[in-house]
Formats: sequence, C-alpha cells, structure tokens
Amino acid sequence: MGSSKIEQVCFEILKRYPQKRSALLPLLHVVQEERGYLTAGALEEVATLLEMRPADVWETASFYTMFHFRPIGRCHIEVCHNLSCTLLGAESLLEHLRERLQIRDGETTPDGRFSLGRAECLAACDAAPVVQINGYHYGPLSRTQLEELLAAFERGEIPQAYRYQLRAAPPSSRSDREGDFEKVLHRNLRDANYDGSIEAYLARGGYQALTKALREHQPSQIIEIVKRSGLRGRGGAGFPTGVKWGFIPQDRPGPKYLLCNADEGEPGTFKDRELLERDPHQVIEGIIIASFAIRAETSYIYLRGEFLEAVTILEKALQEAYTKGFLGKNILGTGFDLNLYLHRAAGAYICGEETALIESLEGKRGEPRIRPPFPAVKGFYQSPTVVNNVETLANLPHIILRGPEWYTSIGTAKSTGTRILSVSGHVCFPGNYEVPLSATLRELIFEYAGGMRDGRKIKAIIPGGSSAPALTAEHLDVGLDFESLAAAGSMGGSGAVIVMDERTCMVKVGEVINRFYHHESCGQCTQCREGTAWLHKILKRIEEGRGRMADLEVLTDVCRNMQGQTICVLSDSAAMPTESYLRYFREEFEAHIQQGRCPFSE
Amino acid sequence: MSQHTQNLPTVTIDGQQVQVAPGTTIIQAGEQLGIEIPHYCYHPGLPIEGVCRMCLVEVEKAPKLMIACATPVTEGMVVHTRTPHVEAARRGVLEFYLLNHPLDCPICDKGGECPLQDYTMRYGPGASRTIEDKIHRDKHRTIGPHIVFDAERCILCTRCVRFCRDIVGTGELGVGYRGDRAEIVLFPGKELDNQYSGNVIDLCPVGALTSKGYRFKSRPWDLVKHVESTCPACSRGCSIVLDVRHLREGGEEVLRVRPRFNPEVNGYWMCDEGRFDAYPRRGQTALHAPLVRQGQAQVPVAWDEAISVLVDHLREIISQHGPGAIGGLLSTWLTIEELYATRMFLREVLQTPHVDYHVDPVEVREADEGEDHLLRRTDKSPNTQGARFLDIGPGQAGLGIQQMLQAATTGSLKGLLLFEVDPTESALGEELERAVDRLDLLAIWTVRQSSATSRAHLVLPALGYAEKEGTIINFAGQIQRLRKAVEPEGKILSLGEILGQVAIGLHGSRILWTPEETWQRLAREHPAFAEIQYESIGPLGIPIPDSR
Repeated sequence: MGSSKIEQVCFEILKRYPQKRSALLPLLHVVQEERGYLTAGALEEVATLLEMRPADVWETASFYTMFHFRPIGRCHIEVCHNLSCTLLGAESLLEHLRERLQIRDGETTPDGRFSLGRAECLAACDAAPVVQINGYHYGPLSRTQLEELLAAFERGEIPQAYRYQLRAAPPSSRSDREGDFEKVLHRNLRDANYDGSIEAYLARGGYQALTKALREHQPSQIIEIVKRSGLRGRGGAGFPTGVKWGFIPQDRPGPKYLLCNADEGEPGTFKDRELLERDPHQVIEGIIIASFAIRAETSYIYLRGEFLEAVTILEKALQEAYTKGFLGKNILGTGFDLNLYLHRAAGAYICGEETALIESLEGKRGEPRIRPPFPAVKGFYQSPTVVNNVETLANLPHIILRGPEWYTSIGTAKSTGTRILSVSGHVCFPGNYEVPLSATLRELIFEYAGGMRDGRKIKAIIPGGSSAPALTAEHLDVGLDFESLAAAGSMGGSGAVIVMDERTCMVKVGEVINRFYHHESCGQCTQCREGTAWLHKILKRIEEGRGRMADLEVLTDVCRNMQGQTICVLSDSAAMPTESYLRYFREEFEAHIQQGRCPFSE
Repeated sequence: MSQHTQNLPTVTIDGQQVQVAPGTTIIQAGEQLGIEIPHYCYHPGLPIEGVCRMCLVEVEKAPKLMIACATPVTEGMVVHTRTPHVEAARRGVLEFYLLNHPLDCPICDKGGECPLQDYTMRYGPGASRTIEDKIHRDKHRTIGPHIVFDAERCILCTRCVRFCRDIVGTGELGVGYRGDRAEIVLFPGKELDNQYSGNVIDLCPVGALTSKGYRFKSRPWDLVKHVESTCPACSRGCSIVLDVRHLREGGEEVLRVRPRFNPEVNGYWMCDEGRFDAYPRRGQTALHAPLVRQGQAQVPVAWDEAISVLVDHLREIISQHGPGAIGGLLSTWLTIEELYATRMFLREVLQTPHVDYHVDPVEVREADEGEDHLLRRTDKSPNTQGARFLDIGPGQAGLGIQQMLQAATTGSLKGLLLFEVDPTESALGEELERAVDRLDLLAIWTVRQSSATSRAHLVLPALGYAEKEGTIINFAGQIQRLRKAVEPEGKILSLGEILGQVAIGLHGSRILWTPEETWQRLAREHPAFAEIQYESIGPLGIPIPDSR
C-alpha cells in the first residue's frame, strides 16, 4: 500500500474518534497487514499522519504483542501455552514444531516460510490445545492435524478443518435436555439454525427491548431498572452495573461514552467471544440501551486484537444495525443519536482493565490509571465514561423486556440472573454454560460439563479465571454466586472454570499462570513488574527441579508484597492464586524440591 | 487562627498536625512537617505518575496503603508513615528494585548521592534473597550530546520521560515494551537532544542517566563545595549550584553545575547551555597575568607594572587631549558593583562623559525575549537589566558606542577601555579594526583571549563568574547574587580593585570596590535600590521593588 492509500484509510479511521491518536492501533494494523511488519519509517509515517511524536508511537506500538518490527514467516504459528491448553498438550505441539521447523520460539525459518511463537490464552479453551495460524484459531489439535493445517497453509489455503469458529455447540450432558433451566443469553445462539444475522435476531424478538427502552423510558428510569435488577458486571469485579451508571454526572455538558469491553483475555474465559461471534446483535442492542441510559452519543466496542473473525462479524452486524435505523441519527424516531464503532486492540491482557482500556483507546500504552478520578467522572479523553463487559451488556435487552423482578427471580439474592461460565480443562465437555447463579460447582462440572475425563479425580478447580485462588474437590458444593465463592476463599471473577485432575502438577500450574502475568504486566508499578517475573522464575526453577526449601518462604513473602499496593489488581491476580497453590498443595512443592525433579513428569 | 485558615484541612502525620492548602498531597504535607516519605517517581516539578509505589503510607480508615504522592489530604485525615505495614511495603519495593539492579555502585556516578542507595540503607532489606539471573540490558549508551543511558540501572520511574514530554514538550523519550522488559526508549535513530536535556541527570534517582562530561570524573564526596550562585548564560539568571572539587595538581575547579529550585526564576530546571557551556567558557579566567604589548608581541607582566602602564597611558592622553579623548564600554556581563564602580571611575576619576554599555553577544539592545516557553532568553548576557537600572550611558555631551568608535576612527578618541566587551563576537569587531591603529590605548578586561585582545595595548584578566562575588539583575528585575566558588588560577585582581589602584595612581584618591560599599551608595542614589542591602539578598534573590 502506498502512502497515499494509507492516508486515505487514515482519513476514514479518524472520523471515528474525538482525537487523532485514538486511530493509532487501527492504523498500525492496516500498515502491518499491507507491509508484513512495521519499520521505523512506517512508524514515523503514522506519527506524521496522526500528529504524534515518533517516541509516543514507538512506545505504544512496542507495548502490544501483535505488532512486529521484523519480518515474520509467511506462516505464523502461535501455540497457546496458557493453562487450559497446557493441561491438554500444548507443550507437545510446541516441541513437535520446534523439531520439525528447527527453530526456537520467536524465530523464523531461514527460508522465511514459518515463524514459531507462543500465544497467551486465545479465548478458545474449549478447543484446547489451540493454535493460532496467521490469525486464525484452530483446535483441538493433535500433531498430525497440525501437520495437515501447515500443509494447507503452505498451499496458500485458509483451511476450514478444525477451525474454532466452526465448532458445534458443546455436547453438554444437560444443557440441551428438556426441562433444563431456560437460557437467556444463550437462547438464540444455542439454536443450530441461528446465524446471528439481524433478520434472525429480529425474528426472535430482537430490538424490541431497545424500542421499549427508547419509547417508554427516560434514561434515568433505565438506570433505576438496572439497579433494581441487581445486575453485576460479568467482566471480573462483579460491580453493580446500575450503580456504576449512576456515577455518571447527569448535568455536565459535553460528551459521554459507553465502551463495550470485548477484550476477553482472562485465561480460561471464552464466553464473550461466543456472544460476539454467534449473536452480535444481542450485544449491540445492549450497548445501545446502555448508551441511552448514560446519554452517550458515541460508543466503542474495544475488541480483543486476536479476535480476527469477530471483526468481520461485528462489522457486518453494525452495518445491519445502521441500515435498520438502530444506530445513527434519530434512532427509532426518538431523537436519540448514537454512533457505535468497532476498535480493534493489538494484544495486551491488561487492556481488559477498564482504565487501561481507556488509555489504549486513546492510542497509548495500556497502563491502568490511578483512581480517583473514576472513569464515570473522567474517562475517555477526560469525559464521563462507562466501561461494561460484553456479557453484562447482553443481559440488558432481557432485563428491559422482562423486568427487573423477573431477573432477580433467577440466581441468589445478591448474585442475580444467569451467568455464562466457560468450563475448560480435564472435563468431558468443555464449553460455555449459562447457569443461574444459584447453581453449584458440582452441578456445573458434573451435570453440564459431563464430569471428569476418564473418570479421574478432581485435584483443583480455578473458579473465576486464572486470577482466582484455586479450590479443591472439597469445594464442589460451593455456589457459583459471587458471595459463595468469596466465602470459600476464591472469587467469581471472569466466570472461567478451569478443572484439573489428579495428574496435574500444581507447581507447573503456578509456573504457567505466573508466566502469563509476567508476560502481561504493563510494568508501571514496581511490585507487579518485578514481582510477577520473580514468581515466575522461582516457580519455573522449582518445576525444573532446582528449587530450594527457602524458596517457599520467599514465594509467600513475594506474594504478600505484591498485594494491595499497586494501581490495578494484576499484581494481586498473580499473587492470590499462587498463595492458594502453596496453601493447598504445599507438599507438591516440597516434593519437587526434595526429589530435584517434577514428580509428575514421566 | 485567622478566618482564612479555618477552612483549610488539617492533617495529622505521625502524630504531628499541620494545616495545609486544599489539594495538598500527603507527601507535600509531610514535607511541610519535615517528615520524609521516601519516593522515586514523585517530583514536585513533574506531573504525578504514582508508579514507584515507594511512598505508600497508612491512612486511617483506608482499606489499603495509599500513595502519598497522589492522595490529597482531607480534613481530619490521620496518616502513619512508620508502621510495620508501611515499613514492610517499603522493604518490599526496595527488594523488588534490587532484583535486577546491577549494583555496579563502585563505578556509578550516582553512588554516594543515590536515592536507591540511601533508601536501601534507611528502609531496605538487609540481605538479598534472589538467586535468579539478573536481566541484562544496554549499558553506557550515548543517547544524546550530553547524556549516557544505562538501562540496567533504570528503575522506570519515568521522571525523564515526563520531563521531556510535559516540561520541555519535545517528548524524545518514552517507555517501550512492557512488564520487566519495559525500558526507557527513544525512537529508533533519534537522540535526546533538546535545550534542557541535562535536567534528566538530576531527575534520575539512580545512575541510569549520567552526564557525558562529568561521567567518571569524580565521586560526589570529592565535590568539596556546593556553592549557590546564579547562571550567567542568559538574562534569566537561573539559580544554580556550583559543585567544586580540588585538583590533584593544586587549585580547584567547578566540575558540575546543577539547577537550584527558585520558584521566582527557574523553578527546578536550567538549560544545557548554562549547565554545560557557561562555566568552562566564562566561569574561570584563562588568563593568568596581565599582558602588555611590546612591539608586535604581548608579554605577561606583574599587576603593579600593568597598572602603572595603564596609569601612564591615561595620564598621557588626558594631559595631551583632555579626558574627552577617553571612552569606556561596559559589558552586560559585569555585575552591578562592577558596572557602578566602572562608571564612577570613568565619570568621576577620569571625568569622561563617554560611557556606554554593550549587550554582549546580542546586538540589539532592547530585544530580550523568551526563546521558548521555558527559561531561555534571547539576551545571552546576565546583567543587561542591571545596566539599565543603573542607567549606564553617555553623560552630557558624551558619546555612545557607535560614536565612540567613529571618534576613534577619526582620531579624536585616543583611549578606549573595554570592560569585558568582546568585539570579536559582534559587529563592533570590524569598526574596532578600523579604529585600532589610531588609538593610543586599547585596554581590554577579559576572561579569555580572542582576536580582539591580540590587538590591545593592555589585556587585563577579569575574574570569571565562578571567581567573584556580586549581584546581577535578571530580565524580570530579580536581583541575585553570584558567589565565589573557586580561587582563580594565578593572581587576578578584581575590577574594583584595579580601578581603585588606578585612581590612586592618577589622583591619589581611592574609590569604593566592595559590594557592600557599592550597595550603600546605590541605595542612596537610586530609588529602585533604596530598600535593599547587599546582605539581604538571599539565595533566591529579591525583586527590585518597582520592577513589578
């Protein structure tokens, strides 16, 4: 692409944002797609177009893992090595690739055909082990199947076999049974004939909630309804959504923004991705309702950069919604205007943290901000902003249509409604399951996910994404609601339930999740930058049989020094689960140290 | 308690109460009480970043430790800075910092004045518990004309980044990559090259950004004197500290120049020209003795001889042509006291009306503007305001600069005295060149030789800016003191003393030459200086009463 073409694309992208630098990540994606990688010259060109300082472009670009500053192979293979994939054989795939391609991770074959890399959780854990090839996700894969794929890519194809997006709904032992709990968010997408188009969505009553919201309610009434519904954020923190909206100053002139957090990245979580890919209009309708409630006239979907296929799906859905008059000027003749744009991120887990997301949307490094001020007061470009998770927003049409009382009748008193739980690991049927929050871990694992593979015993359960402290088989009867999980010493978090059987090495689990936090720490705060790396190094050393008894005390101390002291909770997210592994499985750590090897390795 | 202070929040820190302005942060309130809250990323001149997490303190009723740099005090807030919880957090941060720090303190410029060392002594863990390999990064990479970067020592406080981005506005630096791979970066192929880059050396709380010139020259404890003075590099007059060390071969030198906080003048900063160039150039005289022309050559002579040569020449000219055949040009590099004494010498001792000042090196007298949004001024001399306040200029029927030179060319001016005016740097040079052959006396006071001095009958070494006491007035009317930091090499007489001796030689009369005496007279003669005594001009200077 010539410079003038980039200028033209840039011109189009710039229309979406209040300030030029927001266009940075989208524009870098465009340039990289055209040229393969980003040269200093290209970065400077982008800096000029966006009237940014070159150093600002460079520091931002280098923060995100999806940008390359050197040529990469024509076939770029990235193996997910996060927890769910490691549990199911990711390392075997990596070893195979290293041997076959004769390169190490991060390298490119001399002929420029292949690059090998490792990816963090790709939000496809029900298909573990997952491999990303040229942006497309495949899984579960054996070595042979991987070979098939590489051959096809070599022929210039984009193979359809093993494609993640094309998988069937999970063959749950319970979810499709008659008499099962009525699905709310999964109502449409669990229907094999549902294609996610606006026609299909409308045919099932879609956008009726929007009509009702806009025609029958004032924004303040919608906030009230959502407060009464007890809806809590589904991204991780579980903060009441209506209360969050209530912090938006109503009388202040100037823009307000609603940002849909579609940066799903908490290891083990893949629920938002399914909602976006299979029923995008449900999310879009929720976004429009939320925007109306907080009087936002511009909204963005901040989409995880690795969700390549969701880009196409969402762009189509947005176009449909504009065409039908659900977006744009004077929506449904009510005088409400809303522009909703898709913003593709570029590979950084921390951008799922709401203030990091805002920074990233402003074209900066994804570094969380100090609060106060909270985004509701000073968010995107210092304007009042609400950041809501995909699943949270998808609940809104249902709450508006069926009323808050209906919603509170599901779940528990403090954790109302349903929740989609992403179950992965050593279960028979990994997948997303929508359950009322009154269900228990036992029901989820044994009745929905089909129990343990090969009838093995449960060793550990991570109930809310990799940041959540582990539970054990003793905790199977703990409820899935926020309070019960907290009382059991863990948390509901992102709703990712990773189940591990008796053969699992908990030191390895610790190494894998701390490798992740080490990789993803933004690096601002000292405790997190240094602590995540230190935990990872110590755990890796113990796993490799080079541990010392003194390490256990150091680990405990480091975990303590990492908690409650940083701008955001990434540091705590590494320390809390690590502490839990030491608490429940200390003898495994000691065995590694005493034997000088991993007792679980063959 | 006055009405005004009743609305101000009162905060208690470690049992001590203080009332502070609204918006004051805990760290600032602590400073007011003299309670040290250790910190790295916080700097009062920079936007808050809140990332080093060193300043965590316990605030009663807060669920977690709070960062003192970003937490404003509220009425009744109770803060504790020495609890076990706080001390454990500090130990933790320091342990984290030291994990990958190279600990090359023995060869680090910062060693001895390093907050990482100091806080580790005061608050840190006594022993290291890591056995992991340290991360290796770029060391001693020159990243600009003045700065050397050591990425291994960096603790990522981002002070340097914020300084370039938010204070200078050039933004050469950023933080690249992330996590423990994060590093201070420049855009590939670019340099840290702005007019204020040297400030990052002072800002850096470790030895990650060091001065190319000062690097490995000295240990901080070899710097035996830290003299509070004023920068002469432009009409801003930034408050500075001159760090002086003894030389092995005897004598002493100004090895390092740093800015000194002065809210009225320069805030926390100074420019690179003042820091790196002004002192080698103007700080210490390069001449060790007076020079007298003998034929084509200039030969060093003792002061007595130089003064008697000068006296003889002056007496000769006055007796043959009258005092109107002598003119004096005063540089705006002279101090108030030197300007005053010199004018008095010219007007009262020599009795010539031909007195003028020359703004050196800027040509246009009235053009002193801000060169940028920060500190630098277009008038690159320190005391033009002083010359203006003293109303230096021709007396009745006196000649100005141009007329004096014309008069010299036509032969009616026989003696020209240049007081630190260096004609080679300006258009004066050419005119002087035309006039010089017709002059009976060209005497130049100067700190260094130039092509112009080589034409002089008499070259008199002048004290450099680090070698003398005195006052100057900056563009905004702030009177500030110069402090003597080093002894000149060789015997250099002050201008006042020379003129005094010449006066005695000519008339047997003495004129004043100490700053104190000058200020006593100034206060009587110039209403602007009426209230001011020399001793009352503190380290931050004082504004001339009617200048605002």
